[in-house]
Amino acid sequence: MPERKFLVSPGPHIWWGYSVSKIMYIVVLALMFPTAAGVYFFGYHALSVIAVSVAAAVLTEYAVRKLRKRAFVMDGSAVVTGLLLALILPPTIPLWMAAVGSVFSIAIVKEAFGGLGHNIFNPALGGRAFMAACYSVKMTTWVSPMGFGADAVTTATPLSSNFIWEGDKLSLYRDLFLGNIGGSIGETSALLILVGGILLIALSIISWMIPVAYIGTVALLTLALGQDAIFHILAGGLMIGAFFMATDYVTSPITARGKIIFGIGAGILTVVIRRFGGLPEGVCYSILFMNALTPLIDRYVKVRPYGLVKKAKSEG
Amino acid sequence: MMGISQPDLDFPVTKGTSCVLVKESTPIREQDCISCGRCLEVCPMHLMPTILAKYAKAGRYDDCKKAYIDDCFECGACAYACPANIPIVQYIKVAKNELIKRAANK
Repeated sequence: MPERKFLVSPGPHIWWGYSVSKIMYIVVLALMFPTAAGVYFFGYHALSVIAVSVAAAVLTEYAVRKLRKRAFVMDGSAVVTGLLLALILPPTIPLWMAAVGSVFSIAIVKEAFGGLGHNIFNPALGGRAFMAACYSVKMTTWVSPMGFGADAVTTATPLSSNFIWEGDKLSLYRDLFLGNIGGSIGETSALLILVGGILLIALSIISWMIPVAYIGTVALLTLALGQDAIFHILAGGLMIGAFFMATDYVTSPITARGKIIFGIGAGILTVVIRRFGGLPEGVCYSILFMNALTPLIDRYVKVRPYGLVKKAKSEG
Repeated sequence: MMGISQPDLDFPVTKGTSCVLVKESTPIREQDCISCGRCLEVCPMHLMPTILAKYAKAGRYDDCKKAYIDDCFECGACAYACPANIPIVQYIKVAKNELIKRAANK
């Protein structure tokens, strides 16, 4: 019997080289664009909110994994969750609230369901929904961008009913596009979210189906309802939701057709909540609702194997 | 990429052997599926490899059959593309063998 010198395993023996953690860190990199915009427009406090949220997410992930007696892997998914949660919080949120939301995101929304790969809802959005229910006043207090040092001035977000814009439409569009407007830390600058999102699509980390279907549906529906479509695309959390939240692998369908259905459904719900609902913004809840429908979509929307002809009904 | 593994060197190099590869072993850790859908994108037969692997892992071989496991020709693209390092095609092979055994015993 010769000495065993080889590890024998069935092929393939080479891999593409993109691990889960590598993908997560590329997402973090892409998120740096909206993060930079948030820090630029909302100053040091926004930076501390982001730091606290990320730190709380990673520490909670470590603690919960240990409690569940599972190996802790620094795969970056907790960093993504913490960062995303911070980006959809108001810039004036107290730091302890950001930490509580982050802990809830990881401990309840993600790990209680089985950790990465098993969570039903997007952890960051789940955390935000929790915070909106618990701290409704702080979660709806918005300030206009003040940069570093200047005093914060309370303002209304563009989507709320008491928002008044002095000036022409073009300057409103410009400020919405660049981000010089009240809103959550990371959702203000449509331009930088677009840069990050297109980077992810170019690196084939996310597919184009969900953002295109989502934003397209919102545009068409608002047009059909006689609203300002450009305003609805640029205002609020639609851009960051479409590019970074709805495209979360775990909570979105796996088939291409399923992704398009997911995007259209989220788009319809967003417009319905914005136009007819009691809330000014519907991106968070519409994506959470579609997250809940994702297992159903995956069950019924399947790919057809190559060359398969549909069987006659009598055979089945 | 999908050649047959040899446990030792007592194997003849015949006319049909195009190459012999010896690779450094890189033990990898299988993670949970994150449903990214890459295996669906790369599958040349338009199957759903991640679903097949999940069924195979759970021993639900009848469900594998319903999900067209017989159409898989084991190219290995799914396992190559998987960022969670799940040996998808290997699971599928196990399930296929099991199905063949069952069919023979009937």
